[in-house]
Amino acid sequence: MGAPKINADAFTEEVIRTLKESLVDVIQIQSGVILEEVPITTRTPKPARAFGSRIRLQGSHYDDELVLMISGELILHLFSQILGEEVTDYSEEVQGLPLELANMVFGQTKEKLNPRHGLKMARPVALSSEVWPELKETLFHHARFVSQKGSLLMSIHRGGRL
Amino acid sequence: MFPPKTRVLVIDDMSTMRAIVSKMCREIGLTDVTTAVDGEDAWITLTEAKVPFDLIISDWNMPKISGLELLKKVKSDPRFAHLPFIMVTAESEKSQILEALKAGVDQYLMKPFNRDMFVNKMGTLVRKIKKVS
Repeated sequence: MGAPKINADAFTEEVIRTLKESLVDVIQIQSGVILEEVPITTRTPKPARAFGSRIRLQGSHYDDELVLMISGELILHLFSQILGEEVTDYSEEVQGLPLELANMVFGQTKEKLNPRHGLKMARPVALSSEVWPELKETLFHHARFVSQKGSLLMSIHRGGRL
Repeated sequence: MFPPKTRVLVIDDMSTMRAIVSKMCREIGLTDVTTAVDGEDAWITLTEAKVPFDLIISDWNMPKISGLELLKKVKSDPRFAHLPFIMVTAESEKSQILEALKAGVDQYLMKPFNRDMFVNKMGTLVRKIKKVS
């Protein structure tokens, strides 16, 4: 089975591209870790442990949602890189990193897209790995990124809430 | 960079960013760091402190009292108006930056930031304080 189709009627390619670029930039600046986008299929396995966040993307002509799901291995690696010391526990601070990253990605995207898209201020919410998005759902746009340690799934949900 | 025993108040509603900023402070010798979980908590911490603070590093987007509201309170209170105030935010719209500048913010730190960016921003603040004094 191939990659899920992008259905981006109102939610333009520009927004999706900007979100992806912002994600890669944010991770690289904050942690020094370089993410690479890799192909995704409906058979792409869900990591054993993951932490996530969602943030509303409410603009002048859309009301969607950005979801970030980060594998446990990658979240520990990112936090270790940011602090400059090895982190091995899934502490409250570690589990909150997807929230901060969503906040930063949103901020960068907002700066690049406004005022044309009228993106309104929003606050991220934490997600557990139980709500790992369904990759076969074509109403969503999914992108998978990997680093040397672990993976990250970015999903853009059109008009829906997890 | 800063005098020894400089007391720092770090405010962020997210524990992750409190941990990151506190760690970066310690790395540049600011070892006396107190944290607050939002603007309201920060105001109580400031007003009840037995030993006064020397520097405030605050997030913008917080519940109860936002970073901007806290900045206005701090800068309009003669007890705290002299305190250097660094605003940390993922928002970079010009109107917001102007609003913070108008309210008296001393430095603006954009998220994301790494250790080098943090050190540079603190260095700029120190030079600014020295110039003024």
